[in-house]
Amino acid sequence: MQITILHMFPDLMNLYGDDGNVKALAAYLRAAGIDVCVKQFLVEEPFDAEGVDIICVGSGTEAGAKRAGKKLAEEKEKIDAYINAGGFVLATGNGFELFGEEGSGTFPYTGAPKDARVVSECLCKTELIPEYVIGFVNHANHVTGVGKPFMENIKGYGESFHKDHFYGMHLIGPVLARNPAFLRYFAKELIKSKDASYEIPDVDLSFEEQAYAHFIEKYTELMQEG
Amino acid sequence: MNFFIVLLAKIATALLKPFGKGSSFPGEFALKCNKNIMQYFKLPKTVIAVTGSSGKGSSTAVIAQMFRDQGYTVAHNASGANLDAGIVTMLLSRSNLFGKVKDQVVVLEVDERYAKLIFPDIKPKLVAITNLTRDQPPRQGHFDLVYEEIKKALKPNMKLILNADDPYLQKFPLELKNETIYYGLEHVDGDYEENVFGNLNMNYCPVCGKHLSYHYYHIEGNGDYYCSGCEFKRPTPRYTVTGVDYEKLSIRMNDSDDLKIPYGMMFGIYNTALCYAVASECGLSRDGIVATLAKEKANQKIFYTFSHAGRKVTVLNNKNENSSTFHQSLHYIHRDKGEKTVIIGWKEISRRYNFDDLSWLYDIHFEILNDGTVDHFICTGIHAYDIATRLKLAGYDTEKITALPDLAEACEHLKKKTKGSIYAVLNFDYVEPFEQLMIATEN
Ligand SMILES: [Zn+2]
Repeated sequence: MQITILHMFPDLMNLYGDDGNVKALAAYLRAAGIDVCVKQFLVEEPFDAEGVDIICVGSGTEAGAKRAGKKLAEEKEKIDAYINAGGFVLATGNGFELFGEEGSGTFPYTGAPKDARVVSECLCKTELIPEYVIGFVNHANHVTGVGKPFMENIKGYGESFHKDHFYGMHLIGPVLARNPAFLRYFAKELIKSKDASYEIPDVDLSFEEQAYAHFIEKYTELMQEG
Repeated sequence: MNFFIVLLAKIATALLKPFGKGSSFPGEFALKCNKNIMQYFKLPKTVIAVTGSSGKGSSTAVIAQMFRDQGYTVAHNASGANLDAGIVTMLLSRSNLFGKVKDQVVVLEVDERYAKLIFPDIKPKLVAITNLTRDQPPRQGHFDLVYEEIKKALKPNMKLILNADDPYLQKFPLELKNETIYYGLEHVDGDYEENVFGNLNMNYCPVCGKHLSYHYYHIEGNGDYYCSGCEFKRPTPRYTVTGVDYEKLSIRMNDSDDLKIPYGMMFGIYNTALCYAVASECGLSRDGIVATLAKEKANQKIFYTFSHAGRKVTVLNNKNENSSTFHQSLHYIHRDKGEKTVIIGWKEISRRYNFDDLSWLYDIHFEILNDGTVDHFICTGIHAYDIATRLKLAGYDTEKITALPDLAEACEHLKKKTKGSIYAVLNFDYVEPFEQLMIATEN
């Protein structure tokens, strides 16, 4: 099996280590015996979804996001077609806003600046996996029109949106690297969409799991102490 | 009224003196009495301010010393108190009861977000901006926001001193009319033609939006950039480093002066060039500038080497939440083509959050060490496993990566199970504990 990752705007929307998601996903898929091809989509080039299985896009400055949003608005038809055909998207930070009304308009949500920047640590609950998702947010806009968020904030702020194979969230940067259970879930969905019969071998995520466990352990203690 | 504020604040300063000099209490007190207190100081003609993400503390210390060595008296916030209260505290201590600063020169290290509260009243004649990098994202947001904060502080009669090699800093001359003087590096040893860092802050031309091109890079986005779509390009500096000798720790300035550098790291070279440019613009003698730099000692808090069991140990201090300081260290290590072991870690990131931001760890391009010369990585401290994950995702064999959260265990492993020179890439909170563990057990 081959999976093609399209890294969208890697030199415009990669403000908070968001390319960590591309690295984590590619490493997992390779370890699972899958050929991985990582392509880039730069803001000066036309969007080409040919052969693309998943798009990853990250955070940007407000100016960067504005330029990226304008580009996606120009490419709206092709973006809509890609998503409607079941293409995967993982969009982190304000990168997830690019598929709302400030960008391709694929989904009916919209972002508007808040009085102050939204910066917080996050502990989220999602129906997709039993484990909490940990992370951080750092963005300017409050997004309305997302309905019930798929990443429910137990602690922290930020919005999220999930539909079919689109996963958008304000959580920044290396969400997949920091949340091994979510990485396994996400990669499995991606693999099964290509070949439901593919036997995924056990992939070693022991560093990731220990990092995650260390956090949950330490901070559960801290939070109990108040 | 202001006379009394100055008087009261000076009494407070005298009373508080026994309690340590880092306190900004007198300044806080004076600002509380009158928030415009800064306007009432009578300052000398030469007021210099240095701001930016990193290097402002060490640069202002060197600049102040250059003036002292040439016979001037200098008021300088050497304690690193670089917010409004810290600067008022320092000015109070250097002024008479009428607020007249007694020194001939004022050299200020100014926090990049507080500059707008300080520059309008203090009116520095010269403003040097070291760099605007990815620094403390939870506090700063990002470089565009810091840029806007500094821009608010700048008035038309302030002369700017900027690094010509960083295209991001070109936003200042493009958006403001200030007289601007540049320093920078020519093509020197260690330059490279293809970008190796994954996260440059400015990839597109700030004038026309086209992707920027480079003849060569020095580090990160610093290099000889130009736009193929318009006239935008690196300006020609007045102060150009024309050669770097990493062995002798010296740089050649304008093909004439040989300047000693404290250590062979890129941002350190830029800071030395900045100091030279500032001092030269103020009319200090070139020989004197060279002499001051020659006696500057490397700050052991930033860079320190010692030997352990015949292995050279290099301690490189980094700032957590700042990928550029780590890049400078990795870039430095990368120049050594010998076998090496790298230990990376910190005690904590910040006390602000329970679930720390770790995104900046993914902004660090650890990939550049992947040339086969690293025998082993040891990851230590609270985020040992996160660092190990990051290194694994940078393409290193997991066999070569050991995560040991306990620093003492990590040091034991380092001594017994690894080979080659040792590079310790640490946050400041692990520098001393590491040295103690390495030195204490040597005998
Ligand atoms: Zn241009």
